[in-house]
Amino acid sequence: MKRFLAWSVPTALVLALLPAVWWGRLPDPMASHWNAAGEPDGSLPRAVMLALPFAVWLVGAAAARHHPPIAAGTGVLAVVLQGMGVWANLDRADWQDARSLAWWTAALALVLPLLAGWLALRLSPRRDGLPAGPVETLDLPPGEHAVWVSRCTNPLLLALSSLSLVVGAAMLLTGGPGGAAAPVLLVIGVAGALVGTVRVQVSERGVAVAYGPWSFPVWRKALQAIAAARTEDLKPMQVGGWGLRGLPPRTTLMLRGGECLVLEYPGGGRFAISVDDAARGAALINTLKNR
Amino acid sequence: MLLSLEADDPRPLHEQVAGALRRAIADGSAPERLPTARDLAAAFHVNSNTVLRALRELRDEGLLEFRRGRGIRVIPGAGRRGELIDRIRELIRDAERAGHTRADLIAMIEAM
Repeated sequence: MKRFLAWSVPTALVLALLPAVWWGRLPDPMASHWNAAGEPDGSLPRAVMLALPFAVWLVGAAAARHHPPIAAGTGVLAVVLQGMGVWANLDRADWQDARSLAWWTAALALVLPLLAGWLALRLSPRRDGLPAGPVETLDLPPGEHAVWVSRCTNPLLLALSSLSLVVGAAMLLTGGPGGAAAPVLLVIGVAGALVGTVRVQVSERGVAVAYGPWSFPVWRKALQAIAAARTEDLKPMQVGGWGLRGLPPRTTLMLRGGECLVLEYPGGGRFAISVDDAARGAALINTLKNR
Repeated sequence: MLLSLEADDPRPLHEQVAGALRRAIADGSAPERLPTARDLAAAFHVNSNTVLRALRELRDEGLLEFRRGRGIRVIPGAGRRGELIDRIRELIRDAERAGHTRADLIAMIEAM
């Protein structure tokens, strides 16, 4: 709550002070929209135009407790919008004479909130959910060869990645408009597909994680290099989103919220993988390790 | 899903793999959609053909169905059936060890 007030009170103050100080020097109606060339091409009554950023900020404030990145992003977006609107209209008699806004101001309105959201994500305290479960083992007769095979798929992520790949490839082949975006789409598509589905395997030879529909690349870890395996319930918001998250030695491969297989390393690091049937996998790792 | 091969099992490898899958289906640990034959082969460290042979065996027993493009699925209710088939196989092995043929076994069951 303290953190929430520390951020929202200054934001609200700035949003209110800008119009309050310059109310008399702003035209009514105000320019509210600019065309691609940067010239004003739309207007709104002054009171509505100055209230709009408040509406944006209220959305952020509502999300503040559970989603600090959204709160920070919308807060910054509201301030940027208010600042740009007031600056462009200041001391103009008519909205059509408002200052032109170059394309980079629109880019700023996009980049600054994203940056704020990212910062909030890095700075907000980790909510690690429930403590990881106990170290379980299996009752495995000596000499018996046991393996564990499981997988995890995020159908939405796979579908979006496929779409990105198809559109990117089509742009590349037809040489149509936006050709520069084609490589970007292809890279996004491949990266998304790699973390859209994973297969995890545990055997006497260690743990293997195969990425993506092509099962390549494969990440391997010997059982001796793992201190213990547990399960933990993790949500994407707790680890910073979907895909490979965090920096070594604490990383997470997040495909969907829920049960994760957590490999703990002797040095104190850990690798968490969202995968179905994780409890059996963890128990097998602990059992094989102690043979 | 957890799969285990018994120690010192004299049966051919494909039968051992089929047995492991049958047990996993019976105890409910097998997911509705099975891992691919390639993944199973990698995990067991055996040839893909060995796993495919085991999977076909289970399909013929009515435990699995193969669907083009949608992978291999466990037929609902296959758990009970798998357990029963596992016990029948054990029975056949015991009977063979005791010198009884399958026909003898069938005659015994029918006489009950």
